[in-house]
Amino acid sequence: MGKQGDTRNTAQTLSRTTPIESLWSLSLKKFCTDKIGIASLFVVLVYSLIALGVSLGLWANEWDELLNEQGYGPISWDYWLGTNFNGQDIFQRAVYSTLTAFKVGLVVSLCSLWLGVCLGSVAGFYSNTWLDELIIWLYGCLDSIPFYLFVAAVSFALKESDIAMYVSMIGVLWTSSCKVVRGQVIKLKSLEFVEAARAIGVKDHKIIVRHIMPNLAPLILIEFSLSFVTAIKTEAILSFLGLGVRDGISWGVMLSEASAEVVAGRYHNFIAASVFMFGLVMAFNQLSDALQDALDPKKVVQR
Amino acid sequence: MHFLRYTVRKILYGIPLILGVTFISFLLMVYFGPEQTYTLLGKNPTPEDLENIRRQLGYDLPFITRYAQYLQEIFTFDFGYSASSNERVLDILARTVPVSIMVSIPGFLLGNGVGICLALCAAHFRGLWPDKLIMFFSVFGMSVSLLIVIIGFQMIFCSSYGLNWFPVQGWDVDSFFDYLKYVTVPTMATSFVAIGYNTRFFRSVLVEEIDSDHVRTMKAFGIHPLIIIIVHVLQNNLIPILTRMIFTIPYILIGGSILIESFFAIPGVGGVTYDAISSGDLPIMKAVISIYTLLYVGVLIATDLVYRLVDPRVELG
Amino acid sequence: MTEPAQKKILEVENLKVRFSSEQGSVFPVDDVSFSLNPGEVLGIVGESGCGKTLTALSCLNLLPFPGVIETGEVWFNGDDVLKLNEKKLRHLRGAKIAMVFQESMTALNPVYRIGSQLSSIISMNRKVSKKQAKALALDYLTAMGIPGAEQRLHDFPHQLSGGMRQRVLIALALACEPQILIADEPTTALDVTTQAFILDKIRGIQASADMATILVSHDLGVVAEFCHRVIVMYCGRIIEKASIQKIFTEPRHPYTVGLLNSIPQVRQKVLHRLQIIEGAVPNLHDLSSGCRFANRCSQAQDRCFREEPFLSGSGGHEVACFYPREVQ
Repeated sequence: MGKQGDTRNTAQTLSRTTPIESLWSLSLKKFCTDKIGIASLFVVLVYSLIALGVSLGLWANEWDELLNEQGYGPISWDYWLGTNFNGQDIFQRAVYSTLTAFKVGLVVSLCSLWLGVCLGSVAGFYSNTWLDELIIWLYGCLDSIPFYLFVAAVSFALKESDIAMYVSMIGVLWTSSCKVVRGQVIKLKSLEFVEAARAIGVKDHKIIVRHIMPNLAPLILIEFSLSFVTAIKTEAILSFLGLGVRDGISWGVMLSEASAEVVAGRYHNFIAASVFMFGLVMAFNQLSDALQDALDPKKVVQR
Repeated sequence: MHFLRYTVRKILYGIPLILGVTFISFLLMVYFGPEQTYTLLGKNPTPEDLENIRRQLGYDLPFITRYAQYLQEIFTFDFGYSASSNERVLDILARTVPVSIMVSIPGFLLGNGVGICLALCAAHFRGLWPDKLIMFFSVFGMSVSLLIVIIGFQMIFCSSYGLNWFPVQGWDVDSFFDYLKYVTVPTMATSFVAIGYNTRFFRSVLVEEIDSDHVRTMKAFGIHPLIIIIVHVLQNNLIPILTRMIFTIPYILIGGSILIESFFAIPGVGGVTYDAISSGDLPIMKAVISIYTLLYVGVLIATDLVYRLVDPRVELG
Repeated sequence: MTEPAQKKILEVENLKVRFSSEQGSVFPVDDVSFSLNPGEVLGIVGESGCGKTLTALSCLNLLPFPGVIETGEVWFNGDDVLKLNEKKLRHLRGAKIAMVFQESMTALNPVYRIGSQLSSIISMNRKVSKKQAKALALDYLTAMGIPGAEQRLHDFPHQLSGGMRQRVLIALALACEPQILIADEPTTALDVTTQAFILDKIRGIQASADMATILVSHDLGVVAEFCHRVIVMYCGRIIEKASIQKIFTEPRHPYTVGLLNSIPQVRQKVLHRLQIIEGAVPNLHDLSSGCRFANRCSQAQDRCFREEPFLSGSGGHEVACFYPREVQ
């Protein structure tokens, strides 16, 4: 049953002439026409260059040094955004935090994606078996625990070690990609090419790796950008709660420093951290929107 | 009769979930959690003292027994006494939960109400500038961390460097006017972020419905757009919309309120939880986790039941 | 046009529909003009994707997102439907021009009972009370041959079979007593006997109420039984327009000829192989300047690839082809 009559038919006519292999190149072409998408990709690249430069020691090396003996200092040629109560350069700290954000974002999103995709595709592939039930039960449990308390509890259990934040974020964030992947795999599983592979006796794990994983790629890309954003935003809140980055600096740490300062009229710290963080998160959000649009084959003709 | 059986089955499904959560929290907080042996004993304890105190606190018991004790504590709501204030945990909750509810209700209503209205507007003008504008601000709201919003609003509305219209913090409510005075800025902060997420979600649900064939039929027969939206679009999507609204309740009460209440020094559950996290007050954390979980699983079951009750397409099975 | 001097009930002029996308705009309906006489049944025929449904929807100004009407006029009762305001458009839809959709599965709201949906729509369009509307709905359901119509009113749409649902939709449209009925593939999803039954019922009511009707179909067989005049569309354009006899006895456009040859005919003395039209419908994104059918046409000459032919002809038989089949 066509949803929009001839619109759908037009789409069919179009897809008849476009081979499936060109889905990626088609998406790329579509992405290139999306001005906001390109702009946000550019912003993300700039941020990653900043982070790369920090990790290579090109800039923001003095983020931890007590440069200004008077403590708080105004904006000046030496300190672009002034200094904080310790006399540390706020601008350098904000720049250095970019590296922290990328570290947290990459580690958390990659690990949680890996976990989520593995468990999700297993659950989807063996849907309606005890394995599926077990995985559903697991993420059901994790969903029902209040997140910040879960982090706190993990942090206690790990004796307040630095990796507690990573472990707990990964431990919770994998559930969202697991759910999405599971749903998609169940859909893919019933498609003809998978049934055909099964019918000629291809082994299960080969079907998952050869036929199902490649078709999940667009989904994984989108989930990656989403969980990256979530990780960065969560880090800020955890740092405020004293559960985040312990030795080092992040926008979250800067914000929690700032929370006491703003009512006293010192907002350099606050503005520096929030502008840097907002820029990256906004760019990533727009990027994931653009990706979703570009990778959705149904939107080829429309919009 | 069918429905009753269905209800019972759904409740039975909730049990493994509750067991799972309690097991995880038991492992993390009790089994691997910090032992209180040394804090209670002071300096240079003898091995016998150690042995004694461990026995008193039950650390020498086998795993299963300790878990059973933990379960018993939770199901009898016997959470003991706060480690920092020595107040009974139940009393603390009884005192703080109503405050949290009062703080979060306006934000909840505003966040969802405005979210639905904006989403309807965006879906109606799909692809045109009102839609683009609304969606831009929605992504904007999603991109600003709640932490930034709170600090920013506090700076703008509550400090002498900004407008200084509202008290910075506290909760000294005797009249409705007081209530408004203390609740306005927290409400603005929570709804600011919530509207961003909600608008986006509701729009995606509504756009799908507005495209549907039955809405087209109604349009083709000249039904008024307001009737279409209220009777055919909103009603049909009552379930996803309500589900989302209900599922945010546990989060608002315990998750988001941690930040709000600690920043504005509001004596609610969130504030207490914040203190518990920062001081390592396990009994309170245990209680909050358990109640959150019960609430969450309850909501899960309830929405499932409502779903079956409301939607004629779903047969009771 | 050399139609007899009769007042037209609906006139569509130079209708052009645009769909925009990142790859550029396409025009799935391009420069379409036709008219409808009172009491006449007009068929619109073509392959899927030729723009026939969009043409029908344009008559109600009801294009799906993101389609817009680029140019054109749809005259009904002295008004241009495409320029009416929201309110006038609402009064027109249903009450004056009613449409039956192809997707009977989803065309009714799944969460309401059929009775309540029908009666609210009918009472709105006929300006009668809910109770009278319900009685009307019952009458028309019975007229459409729905057994136990009274009980059906209490059912939800998903409880009915496809054929039943389609009948309900048709009954709904007829109960509004419109001046024009637009039926978009009303029987395509149904089996042949049900199809014949339903078409027969529509025809009965159409003839007795003298209701002008537009039947959109890909099935020339259905059109032959039902229509007075036929429009053949290809790739957004009208390529032939004629009375039903002319189309079947002396089709002039090669595409129409091809369509006719691809109808299986049981009563034929010598069994031929069914003929097919070679090739596929061109992509709307890369249309060349010539005739849109040229790449599939066996008669195509150089000119057909360079220039686009326009409708011309006399005696109510128009064709858009440089080298139409000669009439004997």
